[in-house]
Amino acid sequence: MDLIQKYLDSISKKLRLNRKKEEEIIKEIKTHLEDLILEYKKGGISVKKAEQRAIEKFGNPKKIARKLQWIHGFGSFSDSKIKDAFLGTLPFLIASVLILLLELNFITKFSYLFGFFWALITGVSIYGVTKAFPAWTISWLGFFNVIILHLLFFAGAYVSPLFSVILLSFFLIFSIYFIVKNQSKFIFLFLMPLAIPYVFYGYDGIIQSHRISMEIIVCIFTITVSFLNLYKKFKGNYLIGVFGFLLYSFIYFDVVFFAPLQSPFEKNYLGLLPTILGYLIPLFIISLVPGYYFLKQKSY
Amino acid sequence: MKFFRELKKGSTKLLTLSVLKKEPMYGYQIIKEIKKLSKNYFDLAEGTLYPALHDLEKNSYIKSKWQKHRGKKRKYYYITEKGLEFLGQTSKEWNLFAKNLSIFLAKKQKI
Repeated sequence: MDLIQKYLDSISKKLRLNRKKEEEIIKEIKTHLEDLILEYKKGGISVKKAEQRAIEKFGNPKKIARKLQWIHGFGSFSDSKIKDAFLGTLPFLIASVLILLLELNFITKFSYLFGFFWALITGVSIYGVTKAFPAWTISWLGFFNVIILHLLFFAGAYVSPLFSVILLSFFLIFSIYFIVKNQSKFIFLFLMPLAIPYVFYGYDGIIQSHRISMEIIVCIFTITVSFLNLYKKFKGNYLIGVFGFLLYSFIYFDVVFFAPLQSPFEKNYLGLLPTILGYLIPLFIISLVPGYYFLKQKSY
Repeated sequence: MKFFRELKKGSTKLLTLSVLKKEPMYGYQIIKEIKKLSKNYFDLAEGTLYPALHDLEKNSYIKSKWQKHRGKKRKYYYITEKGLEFLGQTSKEWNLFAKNLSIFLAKKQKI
C-alpha cells in the first residue's frame, strides 16, 4: 500500500460520518495531496520523498479527522429536514403510543413492548455514538442517559429536603445560564415544563376524569416541541430528550417507567414534594452536564 | 513561538474569506494565494485549512462546488453574502484591535 493511501485510510478510519460525506472529504484531501506531490516533484525530488513531504505538510491525520469529525458529526443535520425531525421525534411518538395503549387497557405495565422500547432507545443511542451523534439521535440519547442516571440516583428519592433545596438552586442557576447564553436555541425547551401542571392536575383527582386528555396534551406538546426543534435546526434536542423523558415519567411515573417507585407517588404527592425534588432534581442536573458538553460547540 | 502560532491559526478563517472574496478557489490554490499575498508570512498547514473551510461552509459563509479544472475535478469554494458581511465586520474589528494594540505598545515603550 502506498504512503498516500495509508495516510488517507488513517483519516478515513477516524471519520464516522455517512459514507457520501466521508468519500467527499477523502477525495478532496487526495486531490490536494496530488497537487502537492506534483509541485515537489517539479522541484526535482523523487516520488517517494515528494509523497513524504506532502504528508508532513498536511499534518497529523488523526488531528485532522478529529476536527472534521466534530464539524460534520455532532448535531449534524441531513439533507432532509423532515427526516431529521421525524426520526428525532420518534421516541416521543413511541412513548405516547405506549401510554395510550396502556390507558386503553390494550397492554399491561409488564408488556414486553416497554422492554422493546428501552432496547430501541439503547440501540439507537449506540448507533448515535458510532455515527458521532447526528442531530436526530440526540433526543434518543437524552432518553438513554436518563435511564442510566435514574438507576444511579434511585436512592436520591430518600435524601433530605435540604439536599433538594441545594440541588434546586443549582438547577435554577443552570436554567438561567442556558436561557441567557442560548436564548433562541432553547426557547422551545423552556416551554416544555409548562405541560407539567396538566399532568399534576390529572393526578390530583381534580380533573381526574380528563386524565387521558391531559396526557394527550402533554404527548402532543412534547412531540411538537421536538419536531419543531429539529425542523428549525436548533441543537437542543438532547435536553428535549431529557425533559421529554421527565414529562412522560410524570404521566406514568408509577407504572410505566419505574414501577419500584410506585409507593411514594401513590400517596399525597404534595407532602412528598421534597422527596420528589430530591429525586428528580439531581437526576435532571446530572443529565444536563453531559448535554452541556455535547452542545457546546468546540472551536479549534 | 506558541503565541504567534495560535494567532496565525486563529486568523485562518479571515485569511481564507479574504482570498475567496477575489475569486472562487480550491484548497491548494487558497494556501498558495495566501502565501503569495503575505509574501510567505502565512504558510498555512493543510490540517488547519480544511477544518476551517468546512466550518465556514457549515456556517454558510462559503459554499462549495465540484468543478473540472485542467481535466481534474476539484472542490471550489465560493464566498456567500453572509460570508462577505462577516468578513467586513471581522476585518473592521481586527483593524481596530491591531491599531489599539500598536498604540498601547508604543506608549508602553516610551514609559
